[in-house]
Amino acid sequence: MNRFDAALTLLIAVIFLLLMTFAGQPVTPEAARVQQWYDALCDPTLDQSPLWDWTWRGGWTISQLQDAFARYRVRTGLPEPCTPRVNHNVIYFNWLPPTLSAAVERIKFVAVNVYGTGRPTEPNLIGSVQTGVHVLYDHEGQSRIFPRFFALSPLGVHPTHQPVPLHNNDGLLMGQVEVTGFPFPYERAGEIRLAVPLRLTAHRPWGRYEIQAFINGIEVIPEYYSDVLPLEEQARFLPPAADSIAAAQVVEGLFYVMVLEPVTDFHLAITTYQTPWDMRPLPVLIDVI
Amino acid sequence: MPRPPLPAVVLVSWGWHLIITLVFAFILQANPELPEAPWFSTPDWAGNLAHWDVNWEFRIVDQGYGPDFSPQTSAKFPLAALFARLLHQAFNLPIQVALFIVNKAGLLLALSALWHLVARLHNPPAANRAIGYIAFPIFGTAFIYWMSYPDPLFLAWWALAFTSLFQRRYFRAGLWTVLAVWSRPQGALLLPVFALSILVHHRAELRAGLAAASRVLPPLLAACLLPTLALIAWVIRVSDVTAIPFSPYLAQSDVRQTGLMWPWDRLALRLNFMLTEPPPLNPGYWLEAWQLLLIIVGLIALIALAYRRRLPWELCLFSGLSVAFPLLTGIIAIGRFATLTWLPLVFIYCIPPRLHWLDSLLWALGLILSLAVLIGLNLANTGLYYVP
Repeated sequence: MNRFDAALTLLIAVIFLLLMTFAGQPVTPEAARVQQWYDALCDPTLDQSPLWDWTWRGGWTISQLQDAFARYRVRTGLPEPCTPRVNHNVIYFNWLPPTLSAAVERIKFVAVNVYGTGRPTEPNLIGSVQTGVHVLYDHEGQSRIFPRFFALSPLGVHPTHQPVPLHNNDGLLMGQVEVTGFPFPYERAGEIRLAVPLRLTAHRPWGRYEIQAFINGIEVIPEYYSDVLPLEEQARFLPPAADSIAAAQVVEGLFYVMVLEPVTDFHLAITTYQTPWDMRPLPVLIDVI
Repeated sequence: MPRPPLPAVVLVSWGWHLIITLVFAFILQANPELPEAPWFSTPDWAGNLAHWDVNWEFRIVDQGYGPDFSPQTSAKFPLAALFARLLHQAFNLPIQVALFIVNKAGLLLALSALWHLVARLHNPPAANRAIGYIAFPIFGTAFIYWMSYPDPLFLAWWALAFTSLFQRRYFRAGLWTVLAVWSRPQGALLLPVFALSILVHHRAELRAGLAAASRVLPPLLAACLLPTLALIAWVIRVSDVTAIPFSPYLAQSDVRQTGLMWPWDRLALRLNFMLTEPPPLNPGYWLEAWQLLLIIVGLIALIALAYRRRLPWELCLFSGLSVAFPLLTGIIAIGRFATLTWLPLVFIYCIPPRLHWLDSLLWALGLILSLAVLIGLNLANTGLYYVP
């Protein structure tokens, strides 16, 4: 063995040790942290401190957050244990908006598969993005987890009746959203819905948009289909999600959500995607009531 | 006269690839309104080079391997991701930049190693022409040099391993093969080729009796033992980490829906599909058909060349196995796999050296086809429908 072979052998030995060591080790800890956070969310019998300590809660107090988690669990049936699995193959950097850069070092989006009890545990790429969370790292290395199911947004809350710019997860300006009128109750067949006049303007083609509704701080499922309305009113129905919006297209109409409790506050969160396979951006949150 | 470690043709080709890469990356960065294809990482210039498989490399660098990857990434071998991780952690480089550096360093090493191999087997002018054919492959697959694919590293390792084998430096050939088996599944195919080569080379001892035959064992072990152990160690380790037995080979069995099939059956199936499917077929099918045609014609030519002893049969066998092995499970990416063999170089034997214009024409064709594929792969709505 000459000197070159000896040096190459030594190099390969070092590479071998590094390969064996790093095979199962992530560089950054968000996957493990989100897994632990979701474990606590899915099983209330586990230590709940990750939820209280690691959740990004904006201006909410701890008791507000705990109350919101309790109500969220009741609404979604989460007292029934579920099984979360972080999808390590979908952990992406998110654009850091200038308004956050003073406090936040980086943002990552972490996709999570959530399986119900007794349900098949087949990973689902699209589903895992839907139930994923954002992780915000501050300059001191602390991280906070931002789920999508509370009326919060790191981007702040925007007042109603003014256009608000929309960006995708890369920070690309997609267009704007505006609540164009006051929400009003709509009663039909004993059911009460809240109707919100809304206008979305695309500055460039959109792969997709999504609108979430929050009543009293918790996400509620909006109306997806216009057939809950009489025929003459269906033309003005605004679906809470749609694909393929053309550049300069204006999407305008009434956004409906069922009301099951007295409404003390009502928020809308809007996210826009350049392509259907963009990761989820931080939502634009509008304080409607 | 000593040969330069980095011949001019290598530097020029590498420079061209660097320019094309950076121009494409910065055009995408400057035009974020261009809708990107699936599986991209970040919108900056280096992230724009990290679509498709490179994006999975990104995840491996960032997250390591594990059971909860959907799709499962352990089909990817770890060496390039390890190098990128070391660059990322040692120099605080963004992962996408680290992957870019690994790709470009790998390409320079690959072109240089291949030039020296061809120059040794034939002569420097043939090596110069070979660089043109590998740099701008007529398969339309130069995107592996432009996007931050780990593939050039594999090209480098097997070229270095074959050079050592033909120099009868078996231990060194084994060391390069260790790096090859940690780079791509096809790295394992070097082992039977090397073993056979050593047996054929020592056939006189094998015929001479047991005592003489025992002298064949040391070179066999020198070339094959370390890479075999290295491959086994990796398969055990990654299978343990992912909780999937034989993880690099079985992790994606769910997406290989046809199961195992003989390569000729798969080719017949594809041919039948193309003849019976009502037109128009999407461009991705035509591109794959072009690549399969080149592979078949190229393999026939390589066999003929090896039979006439104009080419070491080991390179022919390695090339044949390298395309037959993936065809067992699918046609996806077959052009990319063929690029990492001797197949793109078949033209240096078939085209007389005096016909420079024909060389230039084929390189230009390879460049144009590769650019079209690059654009089709990275921008949505181009209608290419080609999975690289």
